[in-house]
Amino acid sequence: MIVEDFRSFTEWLLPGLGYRGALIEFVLVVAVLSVAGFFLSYLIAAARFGPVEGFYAVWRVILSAFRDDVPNTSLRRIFAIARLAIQESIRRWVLVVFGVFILLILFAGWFLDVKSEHPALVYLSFVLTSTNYLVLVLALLLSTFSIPNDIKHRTIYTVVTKPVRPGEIVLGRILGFSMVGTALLVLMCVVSYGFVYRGLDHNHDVEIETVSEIAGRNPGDPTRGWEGETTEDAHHRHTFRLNAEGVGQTDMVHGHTHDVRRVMVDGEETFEIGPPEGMRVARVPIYGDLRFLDRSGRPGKGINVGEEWMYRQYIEGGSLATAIWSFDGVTEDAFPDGLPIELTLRVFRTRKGDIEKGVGGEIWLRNPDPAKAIESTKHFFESQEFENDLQYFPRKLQATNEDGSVRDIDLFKDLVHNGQIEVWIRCAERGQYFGMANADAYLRAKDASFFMNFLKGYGGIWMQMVLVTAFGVVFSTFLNGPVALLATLTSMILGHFVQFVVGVATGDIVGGGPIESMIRILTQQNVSLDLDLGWLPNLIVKNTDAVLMFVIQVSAKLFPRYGEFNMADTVANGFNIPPELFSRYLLTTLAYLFVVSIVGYFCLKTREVAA
Amino acid sequence: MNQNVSFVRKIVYLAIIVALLLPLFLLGQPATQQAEGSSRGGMLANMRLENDLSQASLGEIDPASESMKLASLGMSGVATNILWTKANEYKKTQQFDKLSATLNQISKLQPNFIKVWEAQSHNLSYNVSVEFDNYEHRYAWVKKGMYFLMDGVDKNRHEPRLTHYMGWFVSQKIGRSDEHVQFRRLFRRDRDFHKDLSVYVPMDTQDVLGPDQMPDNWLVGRQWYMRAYDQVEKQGDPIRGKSPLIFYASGPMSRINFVTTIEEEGYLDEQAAEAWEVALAEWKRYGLRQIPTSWGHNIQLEKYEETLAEKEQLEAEFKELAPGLWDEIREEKIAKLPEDARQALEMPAEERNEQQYMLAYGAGLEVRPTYREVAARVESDKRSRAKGLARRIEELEQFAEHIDRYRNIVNYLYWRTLCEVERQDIAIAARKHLYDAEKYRAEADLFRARDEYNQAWDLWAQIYDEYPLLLEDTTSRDLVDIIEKKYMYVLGQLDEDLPRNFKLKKLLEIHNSELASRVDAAPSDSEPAPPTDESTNEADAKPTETASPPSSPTENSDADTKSPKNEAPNSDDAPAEPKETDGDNKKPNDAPNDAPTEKSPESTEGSESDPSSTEPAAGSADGVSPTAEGNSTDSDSTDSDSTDSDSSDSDSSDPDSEESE
Repeated sequence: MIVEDFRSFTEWLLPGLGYRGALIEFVLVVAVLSVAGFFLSYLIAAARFGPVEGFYAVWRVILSAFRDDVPNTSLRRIFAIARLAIQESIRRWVLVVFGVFILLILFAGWFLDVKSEHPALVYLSFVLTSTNYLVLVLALLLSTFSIPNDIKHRTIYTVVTKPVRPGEIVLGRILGFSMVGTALLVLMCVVSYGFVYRGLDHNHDVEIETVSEIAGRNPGDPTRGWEGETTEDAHHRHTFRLNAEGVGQTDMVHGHTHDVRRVMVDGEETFEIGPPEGMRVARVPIYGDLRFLDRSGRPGKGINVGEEWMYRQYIEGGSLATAIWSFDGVTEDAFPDGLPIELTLRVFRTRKGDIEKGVGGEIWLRNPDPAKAIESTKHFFESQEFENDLQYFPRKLQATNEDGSVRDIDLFKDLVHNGQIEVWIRCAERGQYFGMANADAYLRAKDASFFMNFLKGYGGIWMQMVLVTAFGVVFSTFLNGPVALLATLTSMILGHFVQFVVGVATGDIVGGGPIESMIRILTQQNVSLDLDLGWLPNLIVKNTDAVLMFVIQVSAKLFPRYGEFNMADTVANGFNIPPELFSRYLLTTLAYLFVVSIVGYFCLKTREVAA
Repeated sequence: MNQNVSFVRKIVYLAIIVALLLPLFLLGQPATQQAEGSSRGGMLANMRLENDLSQASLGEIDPASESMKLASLGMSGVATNILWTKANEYKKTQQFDKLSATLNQISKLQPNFIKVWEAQSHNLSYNVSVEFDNYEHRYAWVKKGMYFLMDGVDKNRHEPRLTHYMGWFVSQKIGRSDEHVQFRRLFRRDRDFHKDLSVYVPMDTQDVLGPDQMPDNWLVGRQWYMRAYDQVEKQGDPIRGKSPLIFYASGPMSRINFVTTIEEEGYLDEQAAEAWEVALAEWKRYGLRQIPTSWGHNIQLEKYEETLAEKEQLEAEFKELAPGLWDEIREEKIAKLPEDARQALEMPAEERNEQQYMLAYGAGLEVRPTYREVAARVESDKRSRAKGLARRIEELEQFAEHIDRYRNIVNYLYWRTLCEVERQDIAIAARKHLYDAEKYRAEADLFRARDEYNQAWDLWAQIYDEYPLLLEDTTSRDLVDIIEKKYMYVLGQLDEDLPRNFKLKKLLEIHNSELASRVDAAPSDSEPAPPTDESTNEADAKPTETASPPSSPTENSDADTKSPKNEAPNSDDAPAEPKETDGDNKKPNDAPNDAPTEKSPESTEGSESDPSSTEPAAGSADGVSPTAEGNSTDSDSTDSDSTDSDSSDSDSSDPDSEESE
């Protein structure tokens, strides 16, 4: 799985080397927004009431917020408004969205790649993604039309004539719509889980005619086991191999295995095949820090083998080039039996070699304490690309002495230093390369609950839904329905494509800003060519684009990065969503909610709803 | 007043709506079938019907596809573009399951866009598959591309191109990749895939079974080609963008490839001979097929000789009608030539300078009488007959020329000759000796290997004497490679060199003059060592009467000062391709030997190119040229690229760009 952000919660929140930290950034943005909001309000008020009276008008609003509204905000009234929002939502046929979802699920088999090598990935991606889009659309439609409709139909009088504060209206709406979204999300989550469970669950039988005994090595030796094939179910079949006791496992196909047992029933040989294993997992990876030694054994970088994607670096086989991961938090309590290390290395061959075998590599553990510099003997392994290759290091290991003899060592006593350990990997074959990124080797802790992980995936969708609702309600406090919808939609799009927007603004993505792009599309000009309109038009286009891109870039940075909240990939790839990451997103959601609610409060407070 | 204006406006709007609805109705009324008769519908429905453009006539209707197209509200093109970009991104970031899922969505949005099926099935089978290191994974992705293509065949039942492409995948991708040994093995055992293929092509007939009685990819691929031919011949579907010459060559070529492959795998017996027999018959049937040409008439490749014979017969008859007229007209024409041209023409060729040579060449053409000129001078009672003959002769001349050109494109004569030769016992025996020699060489049994090689060369020499045409083909180049890299290695290990009377010297002179010069330089007493294989059977030995009597390998090993068996690495350690013992033998451009290889100089498979680079083009047609589909040449040539270079990635290239004439 592709992982590029390894920061812990505190590393993300607090300042670090060359990084301001999310907390400081939040305070700065709030301060800038407050000042900007104040000046903007003042300008509007000054235009209406004159410079002095305008100032007092703004001041009165701010004062009343802190003096009257905030202290007197009532949870009871907020819930009452929320209840109204829920009732309104039900009147507006929100359950239709659930109906659409059920339809999608019913006909999913038509659209999905059910023959995929990794069906879990396909099913999970589908349910999480479709839920995500549907719920966001629902949140968008519900939140943006409610207040404008109330104002348009003057039903808001029935609310504002009561002692309800603007902040309560805003919070109540956000809460109400979020509750509706949450309820739908819960329903979808239950249905999705059932769909995934049912979709992935399958049984095989043994094709008895394919079963054969594995004869002993010498004539007269007892049978060493059995091997055979299963039936084809769910678009695949397995081969299996049992030991002399009649116990074994199938091969890994479609990302799972089955346990197989040979049993005798009434003197007849039958085989029992267990349920699929390894499809619904939530691996808990503990990532380390990756560094490289170059081919002469000096600290350096990995090699680019010509891939356009620079995510991985490669080490040359048959040389001293080494990939070294330093892991922290390696304790006996966490790994009492030994150290399971999972690898997802890539292979690059410059010659064919033996194509029936993987490329050979060496892996060993090393004490990071330079004073000790103890390292375990090297384990030889064969590369297994696009699979999770588990390398297990037991407590009792061996190390090589200087004279070539070996001695026993203990994993924790001899190789772990202050909870740290290093994993060294080399490619053993000359002319071949191993490719790796930081996330391609991790210590595999005890698996987390798949169901809880699934819920966390839905938690990510929930956070997006709340954010869209909040933005929708806030935009609807000062814009009419369709415009509020457009504004919220724009915020969603910008939030989803922040990287693209920043890329265009910085010039990393070629083709120019909005105007230049439009000209290129109309004139069918290749993006790799310079725009050629003459120096003056070029100047105008470029500068206008620069201004536009600055505005878009700032806006994009202000909106939440919705794409990051979508953790479908992590769940679908069978990895646990780290609690720290989940907390980070939750805190971000709350922070946005706080700021957006305040903005909404001021917008509604200053709006003349009776106009 | 205001109310009136508003009312009038509404009426105007209504009238405009009705006025617009009428042409819309005429244009878009759907075709219906009712109890009392069917309605042909509006203009668009009629046009769809007339041009076979309705979904039902294009292919299988996929509800998912239809609903996706509807859901995109006419923006399916835009959606496809977005998905295509996503697919490229997934490919770049190696998220292949997502890539596959995205391609499925694209195909549902554009089910009748042939290029989508062609490009993306190729993408999966050729470009994605090679990203995997495990050959079983590669095979799974090759199949995924094929399943994708089969889906395309379902949705486009009038596109023989796709069916033909499927034939190419099954035969060429499985049979020619770097991993063809593994792929063929996996394919033979892949019962589930056979079951899925059986929906489209017969999989239970003897015609698809190889010598081990399991489906063979070349023969199954051929069945796909046959299905494509049926589509053209029985349904009348157009081939579209593919030359019929190439299109129809693929099936017979699969037969030939099948035999060459099973021979490589060691089936060098009656089965191979029979398979060659069948291949020859099929190749000749191909030769008798009416092939449309770009000149507007059909030709039959097999009719070249017949056409020439008829022409010669008519020429003889014509000459009898006009004795002496040829010379007379020629003389007249010479007399009319400018002075310098006439002088140049009359001058002995060896005395002409460059300018005179050109003049003489032009004059020679100019003074040659045409049949029509001669016919016009024939006596009046025979003139009519002469004119008829002249016209026919010129026609036949042109016809023969056209057939010859087309034959050259697919190398027709070569493959026919090869089939004729290979079915003979002598060829089977030659290959058997070669196969055994390779086996002994791998086992480091060098004496036996050398003897088997020598016997093979003797037989090949006899074959080449009888069929000199084969001297210049790829199979012969393969032999030269074997001589250069393997036979010379064996000789080197035995401290021997090429004998002076080496039987295949002529072959070396054509393909490797450097090696041929070593034959000349060899000492006259350097005779090939006597064969030591006592097991050589009578039948095999028969064509090699010149070979020395066999002797025991033990004797030879005793006689040598060093034991080659000990010197030579054992079969596990031995380099699959020997390192040259003599630097002189190494060709300057022998790059593979410079590769960082320990076992094999063959380089690894990288990204693969589009089949446009390997599919047939003039001269290298769909395997019809020895270069493209000869015994040894991997037509997935880019399979063995030394690195995974993206340069050979071929998403954007047109798979058939080189095919059309």
